Formats: sequence, structure tokens, C-alpha cells
Amino acid sequence: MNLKSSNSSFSAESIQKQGNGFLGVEWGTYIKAFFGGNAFVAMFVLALITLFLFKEGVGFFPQYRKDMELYRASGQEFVGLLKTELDDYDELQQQLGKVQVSILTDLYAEGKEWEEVTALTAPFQASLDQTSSAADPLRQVVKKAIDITSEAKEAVVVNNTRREITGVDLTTLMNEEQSAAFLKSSREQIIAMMPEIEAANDMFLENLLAAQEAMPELNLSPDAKKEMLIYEKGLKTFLDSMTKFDDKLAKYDPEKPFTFLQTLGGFLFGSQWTTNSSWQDFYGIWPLLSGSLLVTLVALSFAIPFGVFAAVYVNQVASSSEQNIIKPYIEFISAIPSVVIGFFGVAIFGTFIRTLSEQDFLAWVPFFPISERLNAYTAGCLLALMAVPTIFTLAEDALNNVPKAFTEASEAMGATRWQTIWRIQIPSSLSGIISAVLLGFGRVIGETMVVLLCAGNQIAVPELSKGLGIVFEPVHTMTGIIAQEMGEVVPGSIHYRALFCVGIFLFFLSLLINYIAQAIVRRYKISAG
Amino acid sequence: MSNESISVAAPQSTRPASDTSAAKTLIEVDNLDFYYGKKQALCDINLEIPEKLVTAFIGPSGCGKSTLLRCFNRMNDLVDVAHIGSGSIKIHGVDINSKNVDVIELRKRVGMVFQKSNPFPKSIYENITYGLKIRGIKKKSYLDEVVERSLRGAALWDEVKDRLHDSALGMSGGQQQRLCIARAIAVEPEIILMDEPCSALDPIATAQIEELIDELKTDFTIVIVTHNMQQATRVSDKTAFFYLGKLIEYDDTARLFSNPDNKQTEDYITGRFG
Amino acid sequence: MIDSDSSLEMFRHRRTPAKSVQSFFFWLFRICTYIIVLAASTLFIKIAYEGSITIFEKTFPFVNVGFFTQSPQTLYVFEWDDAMLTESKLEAVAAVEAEIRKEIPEKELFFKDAIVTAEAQKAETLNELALVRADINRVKKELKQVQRKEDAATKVIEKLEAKQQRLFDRNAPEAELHQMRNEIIAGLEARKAIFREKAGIEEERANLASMKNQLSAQLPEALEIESKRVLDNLQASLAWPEPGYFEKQNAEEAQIQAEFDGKELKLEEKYSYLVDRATAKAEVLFTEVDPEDPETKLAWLKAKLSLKKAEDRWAAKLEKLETERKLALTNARSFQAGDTEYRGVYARKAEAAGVNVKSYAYSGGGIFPAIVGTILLTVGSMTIALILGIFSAIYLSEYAKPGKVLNLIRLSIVNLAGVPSIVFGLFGFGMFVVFFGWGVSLAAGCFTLAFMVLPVIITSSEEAIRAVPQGFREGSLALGATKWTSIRTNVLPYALPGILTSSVLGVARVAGETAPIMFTAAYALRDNLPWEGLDKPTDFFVQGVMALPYHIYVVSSKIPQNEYTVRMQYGTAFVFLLIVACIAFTSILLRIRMRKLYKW
Ligand SMILES: Nc1ncnc2c1ncn2[C@@H]1O[C@H](COP(=O)(O)OP(=O)(O)OP(=O)(O)O)[C@@H](O)[C@H]1O
Ligand SMILES: [Mg+2]
Repeated sequence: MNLKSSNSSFSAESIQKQGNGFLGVEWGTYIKAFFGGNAFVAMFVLALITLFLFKEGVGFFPQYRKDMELYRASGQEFVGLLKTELDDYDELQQQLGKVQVSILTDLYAEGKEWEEVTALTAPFQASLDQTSSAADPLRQVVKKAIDITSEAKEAVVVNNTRREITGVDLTTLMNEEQSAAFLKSSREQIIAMMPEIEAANDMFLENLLAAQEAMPELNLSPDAKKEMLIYEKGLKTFLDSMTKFDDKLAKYDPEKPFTFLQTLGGFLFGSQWTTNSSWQDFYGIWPLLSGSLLVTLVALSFAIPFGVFAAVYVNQVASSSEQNIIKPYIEFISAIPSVVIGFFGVAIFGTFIRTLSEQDFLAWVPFFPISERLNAYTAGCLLALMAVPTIFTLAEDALNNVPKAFTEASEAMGATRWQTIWRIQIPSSLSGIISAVLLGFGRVIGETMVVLLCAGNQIAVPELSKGLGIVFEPVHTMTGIIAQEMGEVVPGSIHYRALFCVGIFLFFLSLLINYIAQAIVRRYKISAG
Repeated sequence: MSNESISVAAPQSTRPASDTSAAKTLIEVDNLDFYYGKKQALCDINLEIPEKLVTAFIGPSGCGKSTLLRCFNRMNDLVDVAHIGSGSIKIHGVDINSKNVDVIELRKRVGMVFQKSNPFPKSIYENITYGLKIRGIKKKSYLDEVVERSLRGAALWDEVKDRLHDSALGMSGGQQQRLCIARAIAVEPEIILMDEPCSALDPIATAQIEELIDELKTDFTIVIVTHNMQQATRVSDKTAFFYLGKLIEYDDTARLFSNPDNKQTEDYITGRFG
Repeated sequence: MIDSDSSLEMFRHRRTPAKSVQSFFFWLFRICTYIIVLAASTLFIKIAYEGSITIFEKTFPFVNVGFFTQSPQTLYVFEWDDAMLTESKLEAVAAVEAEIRKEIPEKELFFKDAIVTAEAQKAETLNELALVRADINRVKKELKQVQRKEDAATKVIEKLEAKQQRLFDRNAPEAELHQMRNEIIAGLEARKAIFREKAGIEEERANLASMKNQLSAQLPEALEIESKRVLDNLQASLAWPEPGYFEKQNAEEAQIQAEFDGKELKLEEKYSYLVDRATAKAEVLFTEVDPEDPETKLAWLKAKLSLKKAEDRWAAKLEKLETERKLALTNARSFQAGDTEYRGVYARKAEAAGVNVKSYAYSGGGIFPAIVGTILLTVGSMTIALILGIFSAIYLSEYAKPGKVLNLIRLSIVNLAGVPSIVFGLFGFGMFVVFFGWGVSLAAGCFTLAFMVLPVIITSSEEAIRAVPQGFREGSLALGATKWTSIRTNVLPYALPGILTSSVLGVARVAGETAPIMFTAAYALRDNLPWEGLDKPTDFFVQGVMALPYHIYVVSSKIPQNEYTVRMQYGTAFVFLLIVACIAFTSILLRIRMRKLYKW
């Protein structure tokens, strides 16, 4: 049989490279270069993202440090201590106000007329006025101090801005030394006021104690008594802290420089995120981070059991027709856009939770009824719905990858299905399940729209003293703050850079989570037989 | 004709031995050293493979048979760490590793059949015409002709002529392997390299392929790797025995099996190895 | 030997603790699974139900076409009573209408004149514009020169200062130092002068820029557009209210009232019957049988409970009916219009008629621009991402040298895929909006979204490519195919299904994301459609667009909530969910089909 039609000879020329290409280069090289070019662009862009985030974010620290230095040098920080004291006191006053409201409601509930009520509460009212005016002398002094320091800071800030814009040392503007001297003079003014302040503070204490003495004996209803107790407790801590305040004031040294480490600490652990304030802006990520963590905690406490249980159920227990429906359905959930879930929370779920908490049969729960319909719990529940598909899919995959031989061996020895699942399947797919949970965690903490819409957006560190009730507090999150404030900042400003820093923080957090998840999978991979 | 082959189970070659001494040398391996990264896989190989004969490579697993085979059409280029240390491989006197050899042209002339049959997930017809199509041949009548010729050549025509347009993955393992051979001969190479082509096949399919090899010999030069001594004796004219990357012995098949020079060879072919 | 009875005994079903534990856990797992399914279904069904109220209608064509073809508009709800519809009021309306009629030709004339004058001025203006442009170029050049001068001066000063320092270090004589200082001061003065010059030039540039804008605005085209808008508005206001509008609306209202009254009556009858029956039953129970008998007591309690339930249900139904009635009534009196139109024209008539108007922003009209925007963003970003992503994947899996570097690249890509979308939004804002100065624009949004899905596309495409067995490549290469040919014919076709599936998922993700476009591309409201009112073609890419997800965000959190906004919210959410679900569903179907088709 002749299988060769022609007898092409195999010779040196026949396998020689032929000039087929362009400009003496083969086509293959061009094709490779084309794909390589694309890959390069893609890699470049992805690297650029990281670099750009840094470029914009890193500038935050020197800027913030300068800002804080100014805050200290102008004496504002010092005055700030006094201001906090007064603010605390105002809060205390509000608590007393609550007592009053409670008393008045009781009286009106008894069916008393306005005149009668006024007459009955007159002594209490008098002592209330006395308490509130107790701080007046201190208030006056502090107001003066605030004016002085604010003015000094303002002047320097304006001066610096002008200098920055013009770029020249105009004689009309102060240079560094001059402004330092200027600030110093303002500081000295404050220090000169020290005796005055101390006197005012003492007077405040005296007044407060006097007012306390003058507080009439009241017979209160249980509700009012509860409020009163809170007030008394608050007052005690306030008095305690007042003595500490004196120490703090005495120890305070405005000349101490503000170090870089302090700046970093101020960002990472600062408990205030205050922007556009007339006094001083603070950029502490802690309230946001704690809010994010709280929401995530709620979400995961639902998503982990539900996701993993459902994975085990679908993989091990469900009939195949059940599997064929439930699996795509749960995977389908992950395609719901987050904004729709957020909208569902705002429109329906938040109200539902609040209404539920107002039901009589749940009155025994200590923190019910809840006051805010949008809170960490609402957001957390909805985020759980988003995290469940992630955890479910990956955990199911992990269970699937357990070699059949293991299960067969176990069941051949007479173990029940559950024993096999519990002793063989889950341990051997544990690494997969853990990484599924981690990836779910990453998804939840990086989610924006749901928390922006449903978490309540209140910038405050959740108070642990509330116990489990903190999950019903409105919180703000890292992603939420970026989404909310980015649209309104001036590019290049310290606020803008602070948001980039939050972004970098998120970036690294998610990289870390992903990396750990992958490392776990890689390290504990069982060879699938 | 297949009945005949099945009955042949004797270790001795039952067909008349080709005249090996008269054949022209086609492939010439000179002092070849071959490395995977730092690990040496072949060391100082010298070998001359004659034209239009069947040459078999035997040897224990991991001794470098496939490596050498893949050197002949430079399939090792695909392995990133693989490189030639020294020495050369010449085909028709042309050093195939030299810079101005076009590896694509080389592979067009040196076809290969792999251990694991690897038909493309296309139809039988498309599988066979693939090699021609990538050469730019589109004429339907010619393609039809080649398909028939190659399938006949691979002793597959009668089995598949009614389902040429069915998926190749629907065939049996032996048929798939023969399809791969048909695919290789469709492009009319000069040399066909076969790396354990029968390792996954049953005795009947093996016999068919062996017979096929015998027929192909008239048109092609064939180099075959095999672990089956009987197979080597049945199909090959010359046999090379490798051990640990070295060529231990190379001779006419009949001689090597009946009267090996080397002790190792003898141990191996008599199964007293190791 | 064991006899058959006892061996049967051995294999009898037994309840062991292990089996009870098993069934407990299996039930727990089953319940958990179904809770998830239930929760998601609640979401789907609630949104679908409320959304269909908005987008479907009871009459032909059964779909609220306006919702899909209009821009969002403010909804105006009028309130009036019959006493108000006096002759004098109607006369006032007529008077306003006459006034408007008179205005139209006046305005027409005015604009005609203006346009004629403008045409005449056009040549001149264009001339001026050219001059201004030239000036701008000149100023730019000057600015550069001055900048260079300034740099030079700065360098001189630096040099002088360095020299001074050296002199100082060498303890050079006082005089020399003094001279040096003078030189430096002179240098500083010179630089100050340069700076002033620069400031002057900057100012001139700003002036020129504003001049250019002014001149552009004066071109007759701008005038023509403006005139058309004004005249259209006037015409529109003539059309409303058509004669007898108020009467007609009143009649309709009466009809609605009657309809609902009927419904209410029926409801009442039905429930009062039920309540009566339940009461009767309870009474019979209580009077006829021994009240001390616990069983009777229980029955009586049950009857009472069911009575209460019936009453509750009745109350709830009545309440629902009442809200429906309110909605139907206000619908009869509502009227939709864009803000600008309304303020300009309709308001005059409404005022004349003494009609009370309440306005609800975003509650009328439709979501057409948002749909268009979402489509543009998705198409744009997926084009970029697919081209870059698939080609990169081919390079990484087929051409790149394996090794540490490649592994590192893969690892970082996989990790980037998990970075929160808001971080990409942040990057897009900083890079495209601010740094490149594109502003809030389609292009910025497309690039941001593209980079967000890029890692996902690269990873999954690479996975699909690498899943193709090595034998396909080898087989083809051994036949003498070039590398590219074997990739093209023997790798890509088999990887394509995988790539396609992941791309479709990418589309769903891109279409569904809000965070990255919030401050890179999305406008809360934009009257023009993307292809309207463009000065030059490139403007298409640097304009902001509306987008469905952002629209949902805006209407559900940024504006006061009321029953009208709620309709808009649910409608938008439903449409959006439907679109994204369709895409995701396609992807899932595709995957299942492809799995069956390509198995090797
Ligand atoms: N891609 C590779 N990378 C590194 N080392 C390799 C590679 N392929 C083969 N080797 C090594 O080279 C040596 C020779 O391998 P080769 O495949 O040639 O053996 P073989 O003789 O064909 O064995 P078998 O009979 O089992 O097919 C072996 O030790 C093997 O481990
Ligand atoms: Mg081998």
C-alpha cells in the first residue's frame, strides 16, 4: 500500500527557516508580543492601583501630624480638655432632663393640670436651674480660651495656606519662626489664664456640690427612679473624673512635639472621626473599624452555621432532585446586587425587626424594643444573606473533594452517615470550610451598599457596656464612610487622604484574608484519589 | 489478516527479517547529553537509526526512552527546564537543533503518536484533516482522498467509514490510538515516532497496531518505545536498550534478543532485572 | 450454626442513639437550608410583587410603558375642592392662558431676531474666538517661559545660598559675606518679580478662558436650543389643563369613591356575617352547656379566639382598602412634569386656579436614562476587561515562562480579585476623576469597573485555558502546527465555554455594582440622554450618566420617603433585579450546558 503521494525529500533546505514573517521576524513572535503586551498592560494597571492608593494615602500622615501639631501648639488641645469636661457635664444635664420629663409625664398621667404640675415641681425646677448654672463661671473662662486659641490657629492656618499658594516668602506673611512665636504667645496667654481657670473649676465643683445638697427629696415613680439612678451614677463618675482632670491639666505640656508614632496611633486607635468641625478634625479609624467588625460579627454568626449546614445538607443528605434545585438557587442568591439587598433592608427588613422587637411576647428581652430601625443587626442579617452563597459554594466544593474512598471505608465499618460526616468528611474538608468562612468574612467586610443603607451611619464606638444590645446600635463602617464622604471632599485635602488611608487599610485587610484562606487550602490540601 | 497476527504469540519474530545492514542511516545521534534543569536524563547517547525500518527503544521505566524520542521532533521544547547539554541529533545530516531549523517544518516531517491516545474532541474526519488544514489545504476532494487513504493505512477504514463525522471521542481506546496514527500519517511525514502506542490497549487492538506498523514500514521510518519484549521482537528490526539514561546496547533485534553482548541487557530481557 | 430466626433478629432495624443523633442533625441541616431558601424567596417575591404594581397595568398594553421610556420626573399632586371651581377662578386660568398665547409669538419673534443678530455676529464671534484661542496659546507659551525663568532663578538662588554657606564655613571676611547676602536678596527680589509676572499671566489666562466660554455661549446654536425649550414649555402649558379637566377629574374621583364604597360594604357584610356566626356559636356554647366543664370552656375560648381573629383580619382588610382608596384618589389628581418645565409654566396656571400643589421629587416618570446608563457602563467596561483579561490569560497560561515570578503574579491577581469594590471606586475617583481630570464621567466609570473585574476575568479565563488537556496541544504541535495555530484551533475553542461563563458572571457583577460608580460615573439625575446635547463626539465619554443601582440608592435613601417614592423604588429595584437575574441565570444555564457538551 502506498501511503505517500509524493516523495518530498527531507533535506537541509526543507526544514530551513523560511522568510515567513515580517521584517525578518517570525509571525509567532509578533503574536507572542501582542499577548505579552496585553498582559503587561493588565499587570501594569493592577500594580498601578496599589501604587496610586499609596500615593494618595501616604501623604495623610505628615499632613495629619502637622495639623495635630498646630492643634497642640495653639493651645487648643489644652482647652480641649476643658471643653470635654464641659461636654460631659452637658450630657449629665441631659440625663437630669430625662428625669424631669419622666416626672412630668407621671404627673400629667395622673390627670393634673398645668398650674398644679408647675407648682408641684417648682423646687425640683429650681435645683435643676442651679445645677445647670453651676458650670457658668467655668464656661465663661473656657469660652474666652477657646476664642483666643481658635483665633490663633485660624490666623496661622490662613497664613500657611497663603504661603503655600503663592510659594514666595512675602513680607506680609509670617514665616515658620514667626508663626511659631505667634502660637507661643497665644499659648502663653492661656497659661496666664491658668489661675483663673483653676479658680473657675473649683467654683464649679463647689456650685455642683451645693446644687446637689439643695436637691429636694422626691417621691419618684419606678421609671423616673431608674433615670435618676443613672444620673446619680453618672454624677459620681463625673466627680471622680474631675479630680483626675486637675491632674491632667497640671501635667499637660504644650511644648511636647507630636511624634509620627502618635500620628499613626491617632489614626489606628483614635476614637473620633470628626470632619468639617469648627474646632478640630480628628481622623481615628477605630469607630469605623469597630462598626465594621460588629456588623461582620453579626453577619458571620448567621452565615457560618447556615452556610455550612446547608452545604452539608445539600452534599450529603438531600436527594438529587433537591440538590439540583437548591444548589443553583443558593448560588443564584450571590448574583443579587448588593444595592437591592440594601434596599430590601431599608424598605422592609429594618421595619420588620423593629416591629418585632415591639411585640409584647418579646418584652422580656433586655434591650427590646429597639429604637433605631437601621442598625448593625439589620445590616448584619442582610450581609449574612450575601455571605451564605460564598460560604455554601466553597464549603460544598470542599466536601465534594473528599475522596470517596474515605467515606466508603468508614461506612463499610458500620458507621452511620452522620458519624461518617462528622468524623471523616468534615475533618478532611475542614481546611476548605475554614477558607470558605474566611472568604465570606472578606466579602462581608468589604461590602458597601448594604452597610451604607442599613447600618444607621452613626459614627461612634459601640459601647460594650450595653452587652448584647450593642448589635442593635446604629454604627458606621469603613466602606460606608468612604462611600458617604468621598463625593464631598476636596481632592488633595487631609480628609481626602484620610479616606484613602481607610481604603488602604481595607485593601490590606482583604489581601490578608484572601492570602490566609489560600494558604490554608494549599497547606492542608488532601490528595483527592 | 488480523487472525493471523493474533495467533502469533511466540517470542520469536515470525516474519522475515529486513535487511538491516543495507539500510541508509536516517537519524544520527552523536554524544547527546540531555538535561531537565540540573538533572541529567540522557548521557552520551550515540545512535544511528536506519531508514524505512522499525527501531525499538526498550528499557526500564524512567531510563529516558521518551526523552530521546521527543528529542527527535523537539517536543521537549515545550518543557521549559529541558535543554540539550552537548552533542547533536542529525536527520538526513541536518542538525535539527541548529538555529535556522524551523521546528514547525521539522515536526511536519517527524510525526508522533503518544502513549495516551489524544484525539481532538472533533469528528474523525476533522481529526485526520487537521494536519492538512493547518497547512492551508482546503480542497475537499483531496481531503476526502487523504482521509480514506490514511484510515485504510491505519486499518480503521472499514470500522469508521460510516461515521466519519461522529466525534472521535466516541471510539474505543484501540480505535482512538489507530486514529492518532492515521492522523500522523495523513500529513505524510518521513518518520513516525511512537511512544508506547499499545500500553493502554487489549491484545487484539495491540495486534492490529503491530500489524499496522509492519505495513507502514514500507513508507515510513518508525521509532517505537515499548515495554513489551515480545512486541519489540515482533515489530522491530533494530532495538536499543537504555538504562539510567545511557544506551547500553544497540543491535539488530534478532541478535539483541538471542545473544546480547551485555549482562544488563540479558537480565532485563529475560526478566531477571532488579 | 445460627438458625434463621436469630439471624433475622441480628439484622433487625434498631433505634440506636447514633441514629437519633443522625436524624436530629439532618433535620437541623434541612431546616437551615430551607430558611436560607425562604429568606431569599421572601426578598424576591416581595420586590417582584411590589415592583409589578409599578410596571404592570390592568389595561392595554399591560405594561407601564412610560416607566421604561421616560426620565425621572417630579410628581405633582393637585388638591382642590368643588367650591373652589368658581367661575372667577376659571376665568383667571383662561386669562393666564391668553397671556401665554400672546407670549408665544412675542417670544418667537424675539428669538428670531436674536438668532438673526447672532448669525450676523457669528462670523465676528468666531473670529474673536480664534483670536482668543491664539491668545490662549500665546499665554500658555509665555507661562512656560516664565516658569522656566522662575526655575532658573530658583537655581541661582540655591547656588548663591550654597556659596554663602561655603563662605560662612570658611569664616570668610564680613564684607564678602555681606556682598553675598546682597546678591541673594537681589536674586530673591528678581524671583518675586517673576512670580508677579506669572500671577499676571495666570490671571490673563483665566480671563481668556472665561471669554472663550462666553463667546461659545453666544453662538446661534446655543440660542436656538434655548428658544426651542422656552417655546416648547409654553406650548405644553397651553395643553394643560384641557377644558373640563377639573370636572373630569372630579367625576373620576366620585367614581373611585363609589367603587371603593361598594367594596367596603361587601367586606363589611362578609365579615359581619362571620362575626355574627362566631358570636352566636360562642353564646350557644356558653349558655347551653355546663360552663364549669373544662372541655366546653376550652371550646368557648377557641370560639372567642377565632372571633377575635376574624375581627382582626377584617380590620386589616379595611385598612388596606382605605390606603388603596387614598392612592387611587391621589392618582386621579396627579400630574408629572420635570422640574424646569413645571416651575416655568404650569405653576402659573395652577396658581391662577388656586390649586394646591404638592411635589414629590423622583416619584414620576421612568427610569429610561438609568437603564441606558447601566447598559453603556456595562458594555464599555466589559469590552475593556474582556480584551485585556482574555489576552492576558492567554499570555500567562501559554506563553509566559513558569517560575516564581509567574506564581507571584498569579497570586497577586487572585488576591486582587477579593479586594472590596469600594477600594476600586476610590482608586477610580483619585485616578480618573481627579488626577486625569475626566470628572464624573462615563469613561471613568467604565475604566473603574473594568479594572474591578479584570482580576476575576484573568483568573477564570486562565483556569479555563489550563483545563484543556495538554494532549490537545501536543497532538497538534506534533503534526507541525505552529504554537499560535495550535492555541487557536485546539485550545481556545475548548476553553471558550469556561471563558464565556465567567464573562457572563462578570457582566452580572459589573451591572450590579454601585460602590465603584458612586463617585466616578453616576449622576443622581440627568435630563439629557447620553447622546443628546453633545458639543463634540468626545463629550460622549466625559459625561456623567444615570445608572440603575445608583438610582435605587438615591431614591431609597437620599430623598424623603412617601407612598409615591415607594412605587418608584420597587419598580426600579424589580427591573434591576430582573436584568441582573437574567444575566446570572444565563451564566448558570450556560455552565450546565457546557459541562454536558464538553467532557474529555
Ligand atoms: N518534564 C520533565 N521534567 C523533569 N524531569 C523529567 C521530565 N520528564 C521526564 N523527566 C525525567 O527524566 C527521566 C527520563 O524520563 P522519560 O520520560 O524519558 O522515561 P521513560 O524511559 O520514557 O520512562 P517510561 O518507560 O516510564 O515512560 C526520568 O527520570 C524523569 O523523571
Ligand atoms: Mg515514557
